[in-house]
Amino acid sequence: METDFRRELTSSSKPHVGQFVVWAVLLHALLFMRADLPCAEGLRNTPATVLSFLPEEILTSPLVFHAFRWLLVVAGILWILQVLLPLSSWVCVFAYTITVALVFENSSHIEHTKHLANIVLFVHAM
Amino acid sequence: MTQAIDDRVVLPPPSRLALASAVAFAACNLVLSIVFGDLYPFTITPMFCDSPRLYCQYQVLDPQGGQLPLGDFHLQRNYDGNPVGLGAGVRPSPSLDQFGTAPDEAAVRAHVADILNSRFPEFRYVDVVQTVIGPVDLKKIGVIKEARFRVNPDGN
Repeated sequence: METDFRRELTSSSKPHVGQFVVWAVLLHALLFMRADLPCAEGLRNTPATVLSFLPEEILTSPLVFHAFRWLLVVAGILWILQVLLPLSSWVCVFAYTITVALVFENSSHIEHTKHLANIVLFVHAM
Repeated sequence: MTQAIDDRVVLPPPSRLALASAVAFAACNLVLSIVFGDLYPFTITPMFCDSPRLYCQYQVLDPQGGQLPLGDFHLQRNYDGNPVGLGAGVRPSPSLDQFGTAPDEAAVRAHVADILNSRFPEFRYVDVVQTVIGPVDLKKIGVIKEARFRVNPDGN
């Protein structure tokens, strides 16, 4: 009886829920990502993200933003299709973190849904 | 190596790298959030942490009765539930409106008169409507005060 209980505690159920969560969050990340970098005007507020130490030219560069956004799209699709794991999952988390950080660096208001999505993606990539 | 038990699977213990990653991630979430407040991707989830009890809503009307943009008079609401500016890379434009406080008529008059003088000398006056929303009683919130006053460039 006790052995069964311990097995129950230390065993994992089939990964259906986790897989569903990954797909849902990845679709959220891909579909609800901004198409362009926002351009709020005002004084800089630092530190706001882990990228705040970077020069202004990088933080406000549409080229850098679109590069990471496309990296996110490619890595996200690969992760959804379970191709090139775990590389695709980690690249996706990295690209998502950078893309959202660039959006936040150029915004005067932020949404904490992105923090939650980032944490969920990070945990599932691990 | 996995071992099937009924419909469940017993996984091997996590590697040291995976454990170290999990610990580092949790530690960063804890320490960086405490030190910096919001430092994406780490957050203290600050929504409504200042537990505001009331707020104001403004309208500014020109002499013809047309509504003027609140942003032009720095009366726009910057508050969206999070402490203003926290976690954002750009500070919002300044505003007299501070969620949780209701400035008195003299403060609003002085503020609007300053802006009339500096930005809108063509207006002889504007009408300002200040609506204060807060607790009506222990169970309800609603309008607790509404004031309408005419502001001239001299502040009267």
